[in-house]
Amino acid sequence: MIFGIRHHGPGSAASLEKALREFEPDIVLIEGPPEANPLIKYVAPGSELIPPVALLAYAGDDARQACYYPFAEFSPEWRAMLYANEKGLPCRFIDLAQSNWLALSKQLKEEKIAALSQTELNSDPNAENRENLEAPEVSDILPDAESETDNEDESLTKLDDSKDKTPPIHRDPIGTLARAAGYEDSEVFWEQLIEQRKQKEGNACGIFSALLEAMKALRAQELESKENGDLNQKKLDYEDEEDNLIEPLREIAMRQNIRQAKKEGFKKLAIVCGAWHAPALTDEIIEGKGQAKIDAAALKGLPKQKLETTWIPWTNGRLSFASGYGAGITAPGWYEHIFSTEGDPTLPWLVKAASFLRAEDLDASSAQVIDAVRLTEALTSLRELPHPGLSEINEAILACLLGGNPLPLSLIQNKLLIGEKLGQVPPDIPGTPLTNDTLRQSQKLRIKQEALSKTLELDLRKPLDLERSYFLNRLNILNVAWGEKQKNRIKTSTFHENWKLEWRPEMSLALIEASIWGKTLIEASSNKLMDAATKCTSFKILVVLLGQALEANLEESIKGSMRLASERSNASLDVSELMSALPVLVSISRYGNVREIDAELVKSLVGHLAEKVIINLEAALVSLDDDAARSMMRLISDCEEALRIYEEDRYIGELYTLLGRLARKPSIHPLISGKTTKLLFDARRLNEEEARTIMQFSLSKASSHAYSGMWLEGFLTDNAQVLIHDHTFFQVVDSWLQSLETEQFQELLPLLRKVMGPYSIAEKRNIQERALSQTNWQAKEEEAASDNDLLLLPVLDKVLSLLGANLADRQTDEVQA
Amino acid sequence: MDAQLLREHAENQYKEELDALSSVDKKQRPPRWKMSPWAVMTYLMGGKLENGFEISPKYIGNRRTIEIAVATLTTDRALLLLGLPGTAKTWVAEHLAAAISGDSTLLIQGTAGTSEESVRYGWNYARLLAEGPSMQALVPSPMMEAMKAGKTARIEELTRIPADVQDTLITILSEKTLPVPELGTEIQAVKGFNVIATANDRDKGVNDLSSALKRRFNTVILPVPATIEEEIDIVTRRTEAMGKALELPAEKPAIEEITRVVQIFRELRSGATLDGKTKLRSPSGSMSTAEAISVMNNGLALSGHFGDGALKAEDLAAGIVGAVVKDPVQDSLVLKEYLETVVKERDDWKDFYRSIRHLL
Repeated sequence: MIFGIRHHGPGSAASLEKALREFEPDIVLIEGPPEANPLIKYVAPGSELIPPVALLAYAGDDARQACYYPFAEFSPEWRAMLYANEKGLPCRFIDLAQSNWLALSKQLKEEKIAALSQTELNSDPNAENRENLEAPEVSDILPDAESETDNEDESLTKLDDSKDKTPPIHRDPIGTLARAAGYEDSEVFWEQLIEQRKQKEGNACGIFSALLEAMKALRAQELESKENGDLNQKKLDYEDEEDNLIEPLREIAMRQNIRQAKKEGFKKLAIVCGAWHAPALTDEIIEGKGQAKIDAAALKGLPKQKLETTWIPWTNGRLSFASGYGAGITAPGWYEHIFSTEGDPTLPWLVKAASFLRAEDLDASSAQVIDAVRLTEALTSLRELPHPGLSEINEAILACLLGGNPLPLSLIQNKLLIGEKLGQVPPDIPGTPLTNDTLRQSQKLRIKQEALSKTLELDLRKPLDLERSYFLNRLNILNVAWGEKQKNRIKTSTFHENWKLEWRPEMSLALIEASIWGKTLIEASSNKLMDAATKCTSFKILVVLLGQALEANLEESIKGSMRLASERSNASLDVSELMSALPVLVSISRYGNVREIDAELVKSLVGHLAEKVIINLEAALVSLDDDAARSMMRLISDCEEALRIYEEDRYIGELYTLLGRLARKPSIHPLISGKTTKLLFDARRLNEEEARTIMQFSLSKASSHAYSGMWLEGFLTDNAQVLIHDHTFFQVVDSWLQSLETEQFQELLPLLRKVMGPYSIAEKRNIQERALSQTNWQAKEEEAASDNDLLLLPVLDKVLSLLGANLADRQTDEVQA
Repeated sequence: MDAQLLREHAENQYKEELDALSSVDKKQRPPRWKMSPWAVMTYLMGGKLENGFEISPKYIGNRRTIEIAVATLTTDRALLLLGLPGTAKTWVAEHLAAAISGDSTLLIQGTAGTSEESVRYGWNYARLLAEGPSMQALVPSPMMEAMKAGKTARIEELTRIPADVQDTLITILSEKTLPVPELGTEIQAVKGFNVIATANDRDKGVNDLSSALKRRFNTVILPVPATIEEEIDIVTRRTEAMGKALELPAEKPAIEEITRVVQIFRELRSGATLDGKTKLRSPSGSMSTAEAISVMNNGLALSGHFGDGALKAEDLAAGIVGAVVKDPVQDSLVLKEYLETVVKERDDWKDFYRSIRHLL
């Protein structure tokens, strides 16, 4: 008995289950890769393998060559496996071996590329096209491979946009049927006829026989049109070519496998396959004279590729068509609902929608739900449909619950239509060693594989949290972005980390891909990092890698990249590269003891770098533009901090001497001059008097106001305290501001905002109070004198309150003017 | 008294179509409906009957939207048609009432001055004083009439009615009864009674509906026409129909003129040229399809009475300026900008450019 189904069709699944019970087969054969046969046994009632999951077949030596077979709770194939295992029946996949299939499509692609590069030599290069074929990225292969298995379904969902040109029947069998039945939309036709059909007891097999007959007729029609040459006139596209090559092979393989089962003495075979294939697998064809010989010959000598298979967790989101999955369905959540609901699904669905709306703080009363049910019924009968479909229900929700406003619907769309559901795979299913190791560790660290994104706050002083941080950092090195590190809001706390956690199914593949690097997480991430470090040519990137190794606590790579760094540091002449490396190295040396890193090696490297920086810094500061100066300012500040806390203090001394010279040098960029003055003043290398002299010099009338402004940016960034606590500095700034012309002031305003904006509110208020107290008397005195001018004040007030500190200065300034 | 009417009610104007429809309509009708929901759909969306009779489409646009509206009326829920001005809300409501009850006259016009009496009932004071309170002294509102007769009542511009008056609708809509405490009695609605309200939620001077009232309506939003072809179709049909009714002496407008007017309206409404290449400022008015229709009619009248009968750019220019410039300062700037950046560049639009330019 052949059961033609639609992949991920809940109606198909329900009918199939009933039909199987009625038919009582002695073996179940399913359209799927035979390599995965050993994995079928995990599909059992009560198993920890919980859909949505996918069968993954991947090339052992190159995991990027892979193919998925996703299954949901309501996939007919899944029900069939479940049934077979429940009854203890043998169950097999009978499709063309995926090892042949992958090898064939690879071969085809290579041929295509060869052909393209050939034409490229002759004519215009079609570069874009070629790229598409050349780089089979995982994401590309993913829907591709699937669309091969399921093109009959894919075309279902694609029907709408191809109204004027009728696609070949084999791409759209249901569409052809639907048009014949007078439905415009094949989706609606199938939904109404098959998926939402309430099966009467006793004749579950009937629908499958009917479907088989319908498909037979369709295939005959297609054959006819092919013979008439309809198809030959059209230029075959790439996909068609692959179809033409592989599709017949698949059916041949299925037939061969069925013959095999018969040979083994099975009498009642249940064959579960895509409806389109059903007519090719009938007994007449299988037992046709000479057919077996032809079939066997066709399968001989196909190319092969070594494959591994495993179960991986999947999500409803990736089952949906919107994710780019070729055989996807528009609303997995809806299908799941239909499948799991006894009786009419409308009311429970509306209740669910209402509860989601309430969770979003939107009005959704029971009375409205009742109205929605009635509207759904009315719409269904008006449209003369046997059952309400998803669109009728959605329209009722829109009219009754949402007052016609479609926005809230999009809020609940994902939860309702797709359903955030992640499948589960028990740990004892053979995966790659790396996957298993990662799962073991995640369990140990209590990090759950969840599709929902959530935030994990880590306190690195706790051993468990530290381990978690290492774990997530290691995964990131392997391009498995399970955790995404968030920028810390509180700058000062270095022992806090925030991670955004979200497990996506493609990460399973990324992990399998990464297994070329090693068998455990530490080994793999360490090897991958070292590989990148050896290959990289830039010292800066090397330091970044070193930092990564440090964050992931990978001893081997820390040591290795340290060694590389010391070799490279001699060759590097770019001071800014060296400067960005210095803080990283200093922190390695500080924690070096904990991590048993060769302390001497680090020390000598730090010393080497520090000396090189100090010697070359001055030359590197010549003629910088503003942006370069700004990044240099940051680097100087970082290096100063690093060397200040470094155990050997001779370097910081040398640095301060250098900075002292720089602060007074007029040709140095004002940003850097301001910053160095600040650093020196903070370190008590300049006393108040000296610092003020430099400040006055930089803010004197002779310097352009732009120069002065930038000097202040350098000096005042992160430095509110000096304005609050030091009266003399405040006055210098104050009088400089007052000396500015209005236009000049407006020009500088953005810059001043940038400097003072990040000050804390308390600091701003402090400065403002100080400013007001200084000038109150002045303002009052002038008040009487010039009322007219004061009218301007509220406007300025608004502008200046953004600045906080300068409010009062400008008031007096304006009044005076 | 057989002066010709300026505008016929829908049920009279399209009497032939309604009769033809109900003669072939064999499907089940809800209580007191003049035709089945299927026939109502055909009446609104147009179609060919089995006997070859052609029904003209009244609403051009998404069929599903109208299906929701009709399905709502088959339940006892009231229907609220929401949308920007000129999206055919009133038009749809009138035709729905005409098709369902054969009577589109039970109408309450919502204004800021609409009182409770016009929704419930008033009194004939002479009789009230002479005879005391009685049913005979009571002056029923259109709503009350509809309840008694099991017909469709219409409320135009529901959101313009003051909130306290809106509240009187709640009991009517939920309990389908209208109490008359003065007489110690009540009017109970007969099967077939329903309410179609139209409202505009984004205009000036509207009162938001309370959520209690909102919940008693199924809301259907009528969108602006989705494509330029759809809108051209609407304008063409309506201009023709109105030209006939107003007996304008001009020729039928050429499709090119309609296309250009609709294009101007769509571009200014959406704030971008049709090819999506140029960003435009939108004027303060709503630039609705209804206004485009009146621009066409205006142009027809001008060309018929003062021109040579053939519709030309200068006949349309005044109408376009009038539709765009609602705020004399801002909107004329918008129009000028549009003229200079878009219209001027289009080679075959020179006549438009000249005649509009001339008026500004």
